[in-house]
Amino acid sequence: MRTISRVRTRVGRWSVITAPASLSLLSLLGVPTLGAQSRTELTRTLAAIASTPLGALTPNGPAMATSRDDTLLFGFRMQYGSRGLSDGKSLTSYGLTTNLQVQGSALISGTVGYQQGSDDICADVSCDDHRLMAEVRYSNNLITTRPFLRVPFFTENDASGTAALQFGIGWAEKGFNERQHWTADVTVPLSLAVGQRVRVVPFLTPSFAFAWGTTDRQWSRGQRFLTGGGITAQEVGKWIGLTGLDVTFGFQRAFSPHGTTLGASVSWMHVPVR
Amino acid sequence: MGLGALGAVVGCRTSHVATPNPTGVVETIFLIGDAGEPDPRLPDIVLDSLAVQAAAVGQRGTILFLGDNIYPSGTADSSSVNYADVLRRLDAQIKTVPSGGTGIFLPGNHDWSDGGQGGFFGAATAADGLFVIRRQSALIPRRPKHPGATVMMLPKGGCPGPVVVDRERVRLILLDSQWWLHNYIVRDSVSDDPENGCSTHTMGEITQAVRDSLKTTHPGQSVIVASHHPLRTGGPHGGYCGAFALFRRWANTSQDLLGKSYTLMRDSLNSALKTHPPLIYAAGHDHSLQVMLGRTSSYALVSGAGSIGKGECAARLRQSLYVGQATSGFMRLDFVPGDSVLLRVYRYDSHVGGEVYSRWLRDQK
Repeated sequence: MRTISRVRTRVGRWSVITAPASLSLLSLLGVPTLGAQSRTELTRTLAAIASTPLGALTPNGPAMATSRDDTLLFGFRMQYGSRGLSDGKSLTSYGLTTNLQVQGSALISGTVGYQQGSDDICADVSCDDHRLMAEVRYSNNLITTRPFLRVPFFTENDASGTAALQFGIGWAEKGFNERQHWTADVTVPLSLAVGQRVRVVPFLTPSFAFAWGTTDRQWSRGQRFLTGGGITAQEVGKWIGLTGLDVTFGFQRAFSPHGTTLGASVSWMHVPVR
Repeated sequence: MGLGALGAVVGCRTSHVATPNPTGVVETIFLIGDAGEPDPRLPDIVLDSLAVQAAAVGQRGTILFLGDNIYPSGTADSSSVNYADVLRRLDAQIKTVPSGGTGIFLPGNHDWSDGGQGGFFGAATAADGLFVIRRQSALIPRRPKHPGATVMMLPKGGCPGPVVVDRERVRLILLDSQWWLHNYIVRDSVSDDPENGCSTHTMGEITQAVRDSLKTTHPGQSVIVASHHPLRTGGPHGGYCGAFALFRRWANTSQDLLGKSYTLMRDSLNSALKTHPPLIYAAGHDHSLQVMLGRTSSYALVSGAGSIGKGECAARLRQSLYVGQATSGFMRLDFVPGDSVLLRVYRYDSHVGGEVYSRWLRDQK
């Protein structure tokens, strides 16, 4: 038992230094899993996921393409997410994301967020009832299919499908008597798209996530499979003459008690047109 | 709100605007591209519909065939077993040009022998692109046509252009974009001939000529710049559709927007266009119907769905106003007095047949 403890401590210190760059290696090394209960009464792995934008906010589907001659486009996204806990408690999160779209497809996103617990989560003054969080995400569309699925009311083009690939790294500062958390995920957003003036995009975002959390003495790791999804209405801004405006309603679910976040986002991409 | 109303709101229903009185139309331009594969086993509803509409406007009409007039390798030699089929493909398009009307064929990559070079060790042969495009250029005016119809290839003879065609309300600036992308001989003693050769010989001369053509328009004239290759598209040549779309950007394919020579052409033409942006940049190449906001033109049109059965995927871009994918059809532009132009999109497939989109276009100067 003592030997195991030393090994854990050594691996833990190393991972503090290089955690973001060595996520997969850590999983192979068998860093101990997170099992104890946090103040949010989530398992420690889920607490880590729920504290970073990956689980605190809800996913977005594949990015809408822009023209290849737009070398670099800037956009912003505002997000809201809410996770219900036991006894009516909840976590509410807000995020502000900057998107960079490169040559029409690859999307690099940076998110800063704020998470607030409901009043009854922290009973004592030493417990922070809020925390900051951040995330960096890379997304690129891999496959877009020919139109293949006829959809009622959408009489012109059949729906076409898109599969994308996303990598994300998230961080959350300490809060709710937990120390800081890190997450890393690989996500494969799958979507259908249909519609002319406004494109309607239902999507699913299966993800595999690693989560790192820390106590006073050591880092520990867990991993979870997540399923997110939602529906995006893209280019809704054209109704008001504002190209590039999207609205998304979504969910992020880990298959555990209190494992679901519901949320919405509004995003805008600056599209230069004459 | 009922489901039907919801459908209309999100744009799944066709979009139409009021159409002008036909007698008030000064000029009509039809845009059809990649029409060089009419299937002899099928009634060609696209070319038939085009012929009917063009006949209705008569001498006020011009049909722009936006390249790839003969699949797969342009005009075969007259001794070739394929020659009869070449004539069939060409004649199917020429017969859409009515008496008194004008048909202008732009060269596409397939008309340049699909970029081919026929000889061993780089020796030029009759199958090389420059010779193949010259054959088509010479053949088109000689084919049977309706009395009084004018049909020609512009730019002709493998020259890059631009060629300017002035009408009352519109100036057409026509380019042979494959000249930029061909990886073999594009210039020889014939094209250098001072009297019968090309007016431009280098990329710099072409872009300067485009600039000059854009700034010398007459008052009230709108400008359409047309080539086979688009400067903006959501189709496979833009690297959007299919399983290998992501990787086409690294494949450096000359026919794809992100290929090196294509990028050079795009950058050069965009820099020339932005000085006096035209109303429309019209092209084919991708087998779809796309109406987009332009970057160096007010609108970018892709009308490359002239052959039934060749329709392809096209991603909807942020700049897209209308996308017809996996379909066939053409576009029509009616120029009325003033500065307005009515764009109409016609498509024919298992979903719809006829006009599906219309929009008044205006120069955003």
